[in-house]
Amino acid sequence: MIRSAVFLTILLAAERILAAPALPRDVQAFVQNAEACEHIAGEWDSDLPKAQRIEITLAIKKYCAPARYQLSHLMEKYKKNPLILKTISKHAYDSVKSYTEVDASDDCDA
Amino acid sequence: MTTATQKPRAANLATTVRAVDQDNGELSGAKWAQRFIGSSNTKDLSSTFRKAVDAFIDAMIDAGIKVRVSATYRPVQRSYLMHWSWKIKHKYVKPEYVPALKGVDIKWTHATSADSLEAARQMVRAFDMSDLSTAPALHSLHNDGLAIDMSIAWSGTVVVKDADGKLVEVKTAPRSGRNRQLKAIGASYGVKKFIGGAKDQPHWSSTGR
Repeated sequence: MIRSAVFLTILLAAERILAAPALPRDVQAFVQNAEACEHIAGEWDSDLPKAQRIEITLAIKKYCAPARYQLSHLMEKYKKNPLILKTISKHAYDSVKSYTEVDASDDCDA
Repeated sequence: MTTATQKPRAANLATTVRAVDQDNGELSGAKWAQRFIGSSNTKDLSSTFRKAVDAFIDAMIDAGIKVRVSATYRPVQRSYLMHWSWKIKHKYVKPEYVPALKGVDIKWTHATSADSLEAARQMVRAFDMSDLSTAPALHSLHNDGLAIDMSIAWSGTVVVKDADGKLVEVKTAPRSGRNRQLKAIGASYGVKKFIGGAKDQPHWSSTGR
């Protein structure tokens, strides 16, 4: 009885995995960049050693910039595919949407 | 194996709690960067995770590994101040629409919008965020005391005790926190290396996130 139940559970799980459509490669790339962007954005602190702050600043450019571009592009590309749009929206983190090319000279004292 | 207890997610506070009216607060400005200071001491970590981290660090130090901790706990109030000052400065939000956070009696709106913007700009500068291209996230595991940043280095072969008391000879490269054997030893204590690999080299946490 227990053996049958375990077998059935495994069978159903396998069926679900096989039935789930794989994400297109461009969406997978976006998800990876977006997750890295969100993580790195949560690491910033002015109290960190300078070398670590520089690494974070560079990592934000490396992952958030492409994620920001990919977000707009993929939302348009997959606008008629609600399942993929749902995945894209789920990873449209604030850190991705607020990515901005900064000009530090704006902050110089007058 | 030690498993850290998850605290309530602190980030939700920043978007759901309107604790004070901005009119009663103290005006925004650079002085706020000196409040709600973060820690690089393991004693400020969540209790279960702290025990795991201390045991892991002790094992590494006993083995002759150099460990330098750069960050442990970061108050959610600090993340809130960094996030919203950046957002105001870059005009993603008007100061009057910034949600309040319990315990942070800050008034983002000044007499004029130019003054509000200037104050946010001063805060961005005080938090050393002038080069930062996105808003610092409102939440990370550091806010829950469940993450630690540390640089790790050694030379030659070291013998490190895992959480079960087994002595593990670590002779593989790299001789840093990215070493596969060391990651397994850390995991035995409940201290997991960031799963994103090189994207965040010094980061370890209770979940690997």
